[in-house]
Amino acid sequence: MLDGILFGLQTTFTPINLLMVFVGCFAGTFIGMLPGLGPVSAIALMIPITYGMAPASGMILMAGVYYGAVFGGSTSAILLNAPGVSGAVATAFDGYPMAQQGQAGKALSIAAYSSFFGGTLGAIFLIFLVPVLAKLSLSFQSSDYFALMLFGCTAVAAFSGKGQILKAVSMTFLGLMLATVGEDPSGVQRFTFGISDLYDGISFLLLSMATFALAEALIVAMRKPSQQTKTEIATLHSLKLSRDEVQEIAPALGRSSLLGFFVGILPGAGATIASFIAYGIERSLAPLHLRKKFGKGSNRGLAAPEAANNAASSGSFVPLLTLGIPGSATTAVMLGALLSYGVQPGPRLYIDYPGIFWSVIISMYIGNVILLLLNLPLIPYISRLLMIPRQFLLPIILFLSLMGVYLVSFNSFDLWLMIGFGLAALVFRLLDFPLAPMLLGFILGGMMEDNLRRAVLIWDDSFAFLWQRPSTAALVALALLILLSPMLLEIKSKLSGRKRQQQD
Amino acid sequence: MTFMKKLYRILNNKTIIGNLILLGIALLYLFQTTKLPSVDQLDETFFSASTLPILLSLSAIFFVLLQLFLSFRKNEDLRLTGRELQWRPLFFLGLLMIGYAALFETLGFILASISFLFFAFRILGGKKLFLNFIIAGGLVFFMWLLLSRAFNLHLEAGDLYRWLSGG
Repeated sequence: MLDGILFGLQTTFTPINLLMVFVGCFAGTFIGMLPGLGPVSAIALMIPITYGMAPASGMILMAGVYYGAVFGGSTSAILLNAPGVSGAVATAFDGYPMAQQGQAGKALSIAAYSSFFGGTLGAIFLIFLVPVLAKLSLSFQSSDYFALMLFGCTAVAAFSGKGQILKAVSMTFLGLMLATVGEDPSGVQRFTFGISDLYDGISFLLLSMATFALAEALIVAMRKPSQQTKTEIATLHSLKLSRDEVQEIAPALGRSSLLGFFVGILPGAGATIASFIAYGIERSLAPLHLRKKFGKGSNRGLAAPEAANNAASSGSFVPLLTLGIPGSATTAVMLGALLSYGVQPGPRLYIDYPGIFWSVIISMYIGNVILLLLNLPLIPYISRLLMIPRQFLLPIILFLSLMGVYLVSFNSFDLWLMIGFGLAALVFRLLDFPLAPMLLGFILGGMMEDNLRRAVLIWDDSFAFLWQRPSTAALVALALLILLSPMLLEIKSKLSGRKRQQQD
Repeated sequence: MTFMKKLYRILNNKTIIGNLILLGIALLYLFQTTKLPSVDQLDETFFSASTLPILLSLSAIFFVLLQLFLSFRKNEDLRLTGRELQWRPLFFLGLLMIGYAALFETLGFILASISFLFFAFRILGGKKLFLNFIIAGGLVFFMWLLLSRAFNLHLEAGDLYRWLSGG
């Protein structure tokens, strides 16, 4: 492990890679603040730019963008009550009231320090846990991989919001179906309708940009201007915290970082869930006089979700780097980026591409330091970018999205596909159907089929591996348990709700 | 409840409409799966090109029908709340994006992109046309410099440019 860390340091501390960390953090912070874009969109926008780079540099850039975007989303949550990323929704609960009380500077500082603490702790955990998990994962066979991906898909659905599980499952299937478009391993063209541009399938970048950037920008454009939360960026006042304030938030930082990291490891959980759980736990644990402040400008209420969502961002890399399974929509896009570099993620990433593996981990720690040093002095200036009028901001987002897709293949057919998927994603968004499960299903679909096919061949054209191989059976059982428990509860509550209505 | 009231409730229920859309997609997918060409050697293979698609489509149909069943049984008031949204910008932006894709190869990257941004700014309320043009032009020019000169990427020049330059 020490060799790995040193190798990672050696790879990361090159001028170009340090520049990538810096640029990634800066760009991510800016993009994350923009309404309509989040880490997924930010990374998706970066991918075409990274095509000419070494894979390690590209991944370092994207990791920096990820962290930067998570922090940037917090800035708009605090100043505008418009979280730039879903992981910053809980940040707005107390961050925005603080800003309204003339404490925007303190709120942004707490967010910055909490993010740094959570992200750094997460990076340290990652260094120690990843090699352990990597060794364990070498014993995995195709059947285990299939089961693991199945677990990933079901976990995404299971961790979706209340009442959304069945919708999430359906959307996961939609993503899996989209993944089958194109040529299958046996050479058969599937669902291409004779269009040669679809022979290679649908690009994951196209789908992710259409789903998250294009659709989000269109939704914001549809909102009436009066609904746009306007704010004067009043004086930010001091950015410093007093000793009492540090003592107040310190316990919350430790607990929330731990919680966030381990929640982030779970495929499908991610920063959003981690931030909400952390907020809820801190509110429950807080003494009465502090609990009353939650929702009205509590320091702990702001610190907890911020620490948790950054720690979860580190945690979400664990399944990606060790098993090749994305832990969140963002790491799903990064997984796609790795595949586009010709790097096969999975347990052998640790052995075959140690440069990428360790440099990504080390860059996380460096990225956290840079974010803190960069953002504290720049907060007042960066936040002014939020004042770009929406009539300019939204078209620029649309334009960058369309351009990003075009730059991948230089084929105008992709523009049509992007527009079609973007409008479809908009429809599903308006109908309250979650899109992250669809994207995850799409990313995992191709690999699931490959592994399933191999497993069936290995087991002599039989699906017996699902229950006869212990590790596979355990993962399948876990997947079913995670999915069926909340699903059955949801079905039961819907049925009992109808019964109560009839009785009334 | 009269038929019209029932129909109104269905058409105003986001969950039902979304699931009907998904059901349509799943049925179309299943139909296309049955039309997949068979390769001779695949007849001897257990796992063929249509194995997973069949499993996926049948599973998707099952889950969607389950949701529809539950949605029809429970009287959920999940109305489509479109009143607070503006549909005009979406309509015009949609048309603009379609126009951009349609004319991209004809006009080329620079002209098509400047036009797209200029009209998009206008659609969303940018009334100062000269300012719109300057911002659109400046941004596109910057992107062109960055992509074609710094990253050495080939950007579509357009049929119009080729025609005008006699190429």
